[in-house]
Amino acid sequence: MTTKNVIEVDARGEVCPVPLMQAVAAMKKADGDAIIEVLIDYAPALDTIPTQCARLGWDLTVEETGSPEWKLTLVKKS
Amino acid sequence: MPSYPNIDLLISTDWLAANQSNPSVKVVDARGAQRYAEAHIPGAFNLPVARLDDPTSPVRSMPHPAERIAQVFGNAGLTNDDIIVIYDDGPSLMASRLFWVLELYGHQKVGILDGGITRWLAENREISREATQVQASAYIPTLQRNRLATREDVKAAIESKSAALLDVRSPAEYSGAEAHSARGGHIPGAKNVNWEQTLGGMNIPAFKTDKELTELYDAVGLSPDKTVITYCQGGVRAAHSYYVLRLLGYDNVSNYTGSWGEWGNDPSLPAEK
Repeated sequence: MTTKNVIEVDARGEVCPVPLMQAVAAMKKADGDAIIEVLIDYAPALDTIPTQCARLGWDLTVEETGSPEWKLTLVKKS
Repeated sequence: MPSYPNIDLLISTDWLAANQSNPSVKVVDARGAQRYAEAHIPGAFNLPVARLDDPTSPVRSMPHPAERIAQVFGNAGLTNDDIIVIYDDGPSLMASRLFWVLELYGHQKVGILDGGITRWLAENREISREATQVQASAYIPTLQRNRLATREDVKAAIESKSAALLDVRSPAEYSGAEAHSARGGHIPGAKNVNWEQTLGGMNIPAFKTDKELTELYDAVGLSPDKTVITYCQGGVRAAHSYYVLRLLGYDNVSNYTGSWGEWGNDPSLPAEK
């Protein structure tokens, strides 16, 4: 069993386009075994980040963690 | 500090320092809570701009309706007659968004701190790490419908040519080479002036000079007598350019806050590449 490296991107308090830029930078930098957790409180990023995840080959799940606050978990598609 | 037609919208650190004790001057830190806690201007209230949006709206970046804004601004201790000074620690993206929401709801005396807290710190002025406590106040927002452009307003503007559309995203987003919605491209007829082109300064954020900004917008046929609708992906960069145009003396400016996030995801709406 291998332990995946978790990279946290805390983009809370940031607004467009910063959360997207930080998430994309993390995806481009991460190796295939990494899990990226992106914390956001800016709702429009719920649209922009998934679009880029799809383009860059990452699966994404969204968990609402506050009001308004979300944790986006990104896993590289195998 | 450079001069602009609406120079009252840009507040100098010297002016703020000299007027901090005036009870009518309210300082608002538009950043997230974490950075506010690290250091802020003494007396500043923290109002993160993400808290201004209505999570129940189908348009992601639509501000709260008036009743909720009354609570948000009231809880921040703001009153309608206050002189509100907004800042962040970057190129005033967050500050501009709050500026737009305040003008959307009819606030008259509001400006952005020139250089934000970055300049304040560079000038070795006093800071605080204690959260500012305020007494809740009564705030009465009055929606200025002409400050907000909806999808229907934009469609009408395209048909009647009654307003210039200003796409403030990057050239790659404008051309469709980079897309953050279901499709790439831009609204038909929109001119592209990337919001980043309005920025000056090196270590301390600043706006370009009046002359430089005038030339920038003149190149795409804009002038202060025109009616302009700004848009981007989610209404924040558009709020920044909205502020810059207001600084330049444009009166008839609105923000299409739904922006490409709404338009680009609706295949029934026309688009160009």
